Order: sequence, then structure tokens, then C-alpha cells
Amino acid sequence: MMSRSKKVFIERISSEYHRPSGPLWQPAVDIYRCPDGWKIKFDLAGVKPDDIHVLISDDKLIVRGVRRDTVITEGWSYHQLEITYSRFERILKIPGDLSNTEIQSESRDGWFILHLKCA
Amino acid sequence: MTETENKILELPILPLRNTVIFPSGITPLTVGRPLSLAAAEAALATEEKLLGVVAQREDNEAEPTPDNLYKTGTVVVINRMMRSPGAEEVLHLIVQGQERFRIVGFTEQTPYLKARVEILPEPTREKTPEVEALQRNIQVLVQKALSLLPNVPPEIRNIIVQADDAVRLAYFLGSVLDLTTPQEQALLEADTESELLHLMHTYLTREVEVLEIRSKIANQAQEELGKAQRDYILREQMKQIQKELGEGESDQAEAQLLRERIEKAELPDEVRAEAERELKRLERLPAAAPDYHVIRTYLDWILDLPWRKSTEEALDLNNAQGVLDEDHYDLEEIKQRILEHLAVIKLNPKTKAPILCFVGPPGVGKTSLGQSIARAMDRKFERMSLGGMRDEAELRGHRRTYIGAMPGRIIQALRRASVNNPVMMLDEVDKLGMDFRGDPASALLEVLDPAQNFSFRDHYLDLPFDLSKVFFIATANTLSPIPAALRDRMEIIRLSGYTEEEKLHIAKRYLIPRQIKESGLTEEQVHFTDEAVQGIISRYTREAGVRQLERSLGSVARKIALKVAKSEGDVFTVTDAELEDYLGHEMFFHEMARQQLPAGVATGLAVTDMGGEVLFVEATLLPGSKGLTLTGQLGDVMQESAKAALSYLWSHTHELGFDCAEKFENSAVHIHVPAGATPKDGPSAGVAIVSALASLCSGRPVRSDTAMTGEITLSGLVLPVGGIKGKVLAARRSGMKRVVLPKKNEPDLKDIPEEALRDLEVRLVERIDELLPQTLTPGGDGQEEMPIPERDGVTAGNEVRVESGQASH
Repeated sequence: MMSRSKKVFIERISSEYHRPSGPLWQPAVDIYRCPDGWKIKFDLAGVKPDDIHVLISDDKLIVRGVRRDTVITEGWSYHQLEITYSRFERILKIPGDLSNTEIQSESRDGWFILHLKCA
Repeated sequence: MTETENKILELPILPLRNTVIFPSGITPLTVGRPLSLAAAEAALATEEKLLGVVAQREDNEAEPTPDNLYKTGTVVVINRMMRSPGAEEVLHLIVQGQERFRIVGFTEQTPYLKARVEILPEPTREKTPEVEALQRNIQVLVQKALSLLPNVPPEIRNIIVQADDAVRLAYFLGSVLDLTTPQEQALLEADTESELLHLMHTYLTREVEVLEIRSKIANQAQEELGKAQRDYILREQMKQIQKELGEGESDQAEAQLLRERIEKAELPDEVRAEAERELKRLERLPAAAPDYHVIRTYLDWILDLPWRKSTEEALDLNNAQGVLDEDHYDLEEIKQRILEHLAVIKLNPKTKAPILCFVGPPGVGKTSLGQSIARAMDRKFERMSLGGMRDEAELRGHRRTYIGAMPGRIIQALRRASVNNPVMMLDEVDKLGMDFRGDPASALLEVLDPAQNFSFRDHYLDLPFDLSKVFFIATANTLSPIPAALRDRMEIIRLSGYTEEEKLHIAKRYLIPRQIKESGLTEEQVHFTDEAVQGIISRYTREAGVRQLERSLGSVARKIALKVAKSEGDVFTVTDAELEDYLGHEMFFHEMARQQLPAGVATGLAVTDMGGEVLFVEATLLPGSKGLTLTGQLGDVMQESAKAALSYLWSHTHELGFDCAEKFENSAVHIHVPAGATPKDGPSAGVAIVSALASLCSGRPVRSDTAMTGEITLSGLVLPVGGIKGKVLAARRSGMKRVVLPKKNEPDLKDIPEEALRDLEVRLVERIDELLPQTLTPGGDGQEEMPIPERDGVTAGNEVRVESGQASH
């Protein structure tokens, strides 16, 4: 059971989790309860949907990806850097069984939003 | 896509000094080296801000080349970056480690190092019991380390305690622990969990050990510091207390002073050891302790004694002779003895000093002779009077355990003398007492025995003191009270009384000048005629010595001084006739020869402490009664002697030529010896008693010009007696012309100055039957003298007529 929207790669995995090598940065998250399920909002400004990877198991939701600096241009140099780039990963535990949920993704104003519809 | 195994990347490489970054945690970095700056700038220019960091092998390499770098490093992402406000060319980075990599090959070296790297997987997790055990051990060690580290922030504590992953924990500990770069690098290069945990375990064990030792050292240091501080505070308090008590801080100074004195003093080894031991005790005691002063005094005594200090002997014999002659008239025998001793010392300096005992009546110059001996030998003179001493401890001291203990008189005298070879005079040894406190005479035995006194032990000092160099002189008036053992240790020298001639010389040479001086007169102002001095000697004094004579002379001198002071004259000559004016009536009169003796009275001779004396023996018959009555305070020996005389006459009545037996049968005999108040004893009146009784029986008076002495036996022998010189002098003084002495006393005549014998006829007798013809006046039959049997070629009468020179017969 797979759904795709806006090129976001979503994969169902077994509950066994593969740890990434090395710690990664974690985007901030808001989680809403809505009548038909869950809405999960990630603070992932500047991340292309192509670079986001969603994994789902029975009880876990994993969002990982890479933030790339697409602004910097040849001949520029940094004066100050506070935004974290490179790979990120966020593992969330959502109450309830996720095995039969339908997942939709959406990118809006720098947010990356996942909609989990429970059957 | 980022999670590929053995992915190859091309990354700018930042060389790290002094540290390794592990794939975990966040590390701040300051970048200043051009090579590193360029690498950081290049990383920042990429989309993902990834940088490879590799540790340098040599920390001090400023421009490290690829050879200088380890091959394994860490991919980090730059999380924050800012430039230094003052210096644009210094970057401050905060980086987060992500993965390990191995350098495959460098692609560029300028302006920064760039390399192709192969990303390494995380160490493989193993679920073996070994890993499990290592994990638990590491946890235990970490807890231990945390307990030993004083200031671990609670966040770190939480991270460690809550860590669920052993590899993460190992990486974290690697960055926190104080490890060397190679150690950290080894951790980073570990490919399996067990290898990593083994390394970590080793490091942690060592770290905990170091921490434990550190904490132990710190504790010890603190403990020591604590003890030192405590002692210091207590000492300060003690000082304050002592100050309050007014004891000052002088004890230490005092101990120091004593130590210096001990070092300087010439002490024998044994004494020094004892002194040092006592000093150590003293140093440990507070000044207030009762023992402190006991030890202090003891040390003072030790230090004050002349253990090795002697006066140099003056060995000029002529000078010594001069000194002795100057101080004392006559006394040739004693002077000779001293000079002999000096001569011996001159030839053998190690010889033991003699121990002399001067025996003689008071005032004959025993004490002053001691002084002149000291002067002649140029030694110190110390005198102690033993008269009345009853306590042995007075001589030998008290043990230190007694409160107020002091050394004995001997040691005290040595301290006064401050040399170990003084002339020490033990005056009046015959007047030593004895009671339950001990017997001082016995204590003197040790002092006076040359075989023992080189290590005399005083009870107080309890250290041997060498007395063998001390020249001991004891004096006594009579020998009899001196215990035989003590007498045996001394060389007895008798000083009998002076003759009147000697007294005259002494008076003229010493006494008169001295008394004139003491009265504030000059010798020109006063002159004593010889007759006046003799008058004083015979009529105003009665003594063997010259003390009374000196007092009388002094008394005359004072009376003249009064006259001079009253300006009643300038020059005075004292004549015999004037003596009564100066001294009043004559004080004494000796028993002078009685002009005519009735029958039954004989002139005897006695010796007292004051010298010789004449005494009369009076006998009378009490008809119609029986028995013998003796009066005049006669002692037992004298009474027995009277009985012997009576028995002899009675039993020999037929040989005597007059009838004693009949008289004694019908009459009681009464013998009286005046002066009745003076106790008398001794056997020497025997001849006088027998003469008196013979005279009584025969009716022939005893010759009034004859004095006699000698012991008698029942068989008719005349035995020798003592004190011949004094007796002869007394006889002469009393105006006797003849003296009858026992034959055996003949050698004693040599002691008598020749002038004393000049006008004296000395008869020596061996038997009573020789005696009586000498003492009894011729009978009424006109016989001049009783016939005397000739014996041993001695002329009849055994007359000794001394014309001049030695006595001879």
C-alpha cells in the first residue's frame, strides 16, 4: 500500500528500524488531531520534496531527508551560518495502528505536511 | 541515498590538532590556519556543508601534508559558523560528527586538502556475552569515575546514565575522557563493537585508577595538611596559655642554652650521655612540670662540677718549703711529709694523693696547716666540718627522687673549689655522730679509700666522680672515737701541744704581729717583752694550742689601742709586771710543784685534750677500818690501777724493806686525786699511786721535785704510756726537776724539744722496785738513795741528762 503525492517517497517498512550511521539533525514538528486522522507538520523550509523520504511501520513514522543550500553561488562566501543543512531524520510514535492508514503529503510555505487518514 | 554502504565521497579535509571528532556529539572548532580556512570555506560553499576532519599525527605541524594525517576521519556537518568580530580570518565553527570515513586518495593539496573518502559503516553491533559483559563493566567503571570526579555537570551525568547505545556511549566517553590523540584515533578506527568496547574498557580502567590515586593523594595531602594545621593551632594555644601563666617562651631557649653548655663542657663520656638523656627529657616537659626544675637543677650540677678541671701543681719544692715555714713554726715532721709527697708528684704525676689525718689538741694549727699545705702546693683549699654530722646522706647526697634533693657535702665542696684536685679538709672526724639515719663514718670509708674513690658515686648525681686527685686531710682531737676501718685508711700524724718555748716563738712570730694589726696599732707602738709573753702563756692560758694565748694577746693589744686612742701615750712596752693591769688576776695556776710533800702524796702526770697536766695522788690510812676507798672521779681503769698498786705493795712487802702488809691489814686505805671535779681515767697514774702508797707505808715522803707516769702490773713491771711529750712539758711547766718514765717510752723523748729537756732530769724505769728508790726521799737512816741494781750496762738510776743535742743515755 503506497501512495504518492508530489514526488515524496513514502515507503512501508517492517518494524525493524535501520539506524543511520551518525546522528542527524531533527526538524521541529507539530502534530494535530483531526476528525479523520492525524496531520503532522514538519519545519522543513528549503527542503525539496524530492529530498524527503517517509518511512512507515506499524507504530512508527520516520521522516528523513537532506536539506541542501541551493542559494549559495560561485564567488559568494559565508559571513554567518545558522541554518543546519545536510541529512535530517525524525522518528515519531503515533498512537494507534498505522498499518491501514493512507498517507498524503503536501508542501506549503516551507512546511512539509503529512496527512494520515485512519480507516 | 545518503545511506549507502561504502559510499565514496569527495570532501575538503580539515586537519585537526590535538583531538579526534567522533561520529556523535557537537564540537566547537576554531579555524585559523590558511589550509584549514580554505577547507572550511570550500565546505561551506557546498550544498550540504559537509567537511572531512582528520587528526594530525604531529600536533605541532603547521602545514600538514597527507602523510602527516591519519587515514581515518569523520564526516562532519557544519551546524553554525561565524567569523571572529576582530579577525575576519578566524572562523568559529560548530560541527556535528556524522560518519567515519577512510581516505582513499587525496585529489588536491592546494589551497586546501581534498580527498576521496570511503564512508565506513558504524561498528557492527554484536549481541555476544562478551560485548554484554564489556558494556556492563564500562557502566560500572563510568559510575566509579563519576563518583571520583567532583564537578561533573548533571547533564553529562544524565547523558551517560541514560545512554542506551554502547557505541554512542563509547564515542561520547572518548570525547570527554582525557585521552591522547593516538588513543582517540584507535577508538575511531575500531570497526566492531567489541573492539571499540575493549579499548574503551582499557582506557576507563586506567582512568579510574588514575582518578583513584589522585583522590587518594588529594586526601592524604588534605589529611597531612589537616594534622599540621591542628598541631600548629594547638601549639599556638599552648603558647598563649603559657604567656597567660607568665611562663614566657623561654623553655626552648633554656634547653638550647643547656645544650650549648653541655657541648662546651669537658665531660666524661658517661656523664655526657647522661646529661644529654636528661636534656631530652627536659625538652619534652613544660616548664610548669615539677620534674622540669628537678632536671634543670641536676643538669646545672653536672655542668658546674670540675669533671676534668685541675689546678696545676706548683712543684717548686723550695717555694713549698718556704710557704710552710712561713706559716708554721716547727712541725718538722709534717712539713717533711708534705715535701716528700710533692717530690713524689713531681716524679710521678699519676700518684694518688695521700690521705692524712692530723690528730692533736685544739689550737695547735691543724686547720691552718691544711691551708698552708694548699698554699704550698698552689691548690684550692676546701674545708668542711664533720662535727656533729649524723646523716650519711649529708656526705653522699639524697637520691633525686626526694623533693629538694641535693648532692652531698663532698660534691658541693668540689663545686665550690671548681677543680678536681683541691686540698679538702675534713675537720673533726672524731666528732662524727651516728644514728638511725646512717653512719657517716662508713660513707667516708669510700671517700677516703684510694682504691675506691676514683669512682665516687654521689646518690644525687648517680655518676662516678674521680676523687683520687683530691688531697684529703682529716683532723681530729683524739683518735679513739674514729672507727678502726676509717683510721686504717688514713696516715695519722700527731700534733701534740706546743712547749712554752714554741708558744713564745709562735706568739712573737705570728700572734703578736697579727693582734697588733687587728687592733689597728703598729709594731712600733707596742712591744711585748719575752717575760710578759711567757707570763701570759703560763699564768693566763692553759692549753696545748695557742688560741687562748692569741686571745689574751689580743686583749692586751686592745687595751693598748684604747690608751692610744685616748692619747695616753704612743709607745708601750708590755712587761710581765704589767700583765695584771691588762689581763686581771692570773686565770690559772698550774699545779705547781709543792715545796714539801707529806708522806702519801705523789706527783703524777696526766694528759688531757688541753695537753699534759700535773696531778697529785694523795693516799691516807684509816686505822681501824678495812678496804679501799677511791675518790676524785676516777674511772674504772684508774681504780683498777689503784687496786693493782695496793696488791703489789701488799704482796711484795718483804722485798720492799718496809712493812706494808701490816698497815693494810689494820687500816683502810683512801686514795684521792684532786681536782675532784674533773673525771680522770687511764692506767698511767699507776706509778704515782704505787709511789704514794709506798710513801704512806714507809713514812718517807715522795720527792717533791719528781713527777712520774707509767702503768704498773701486779708482777711489778712498769709499762709504757702515751702522751709523754705533753706530760714532760707539763712537768717542766710545773717546775719539776725530775721525771720518772717507763723505760719503754724512751723513744718518745726524741719528740720533745731539746730546750724543754734542758733543766729536767729524766729517769727511765722498767720495774717498780727500780721506781721507788727514784721517787721516795731517802729514809731517816741517812741513806741518799736506795740502792739500785745494775742492769744491762745502764748506769745506776738510768739517768738521762740532756746537755745538748739529741737525748742520749
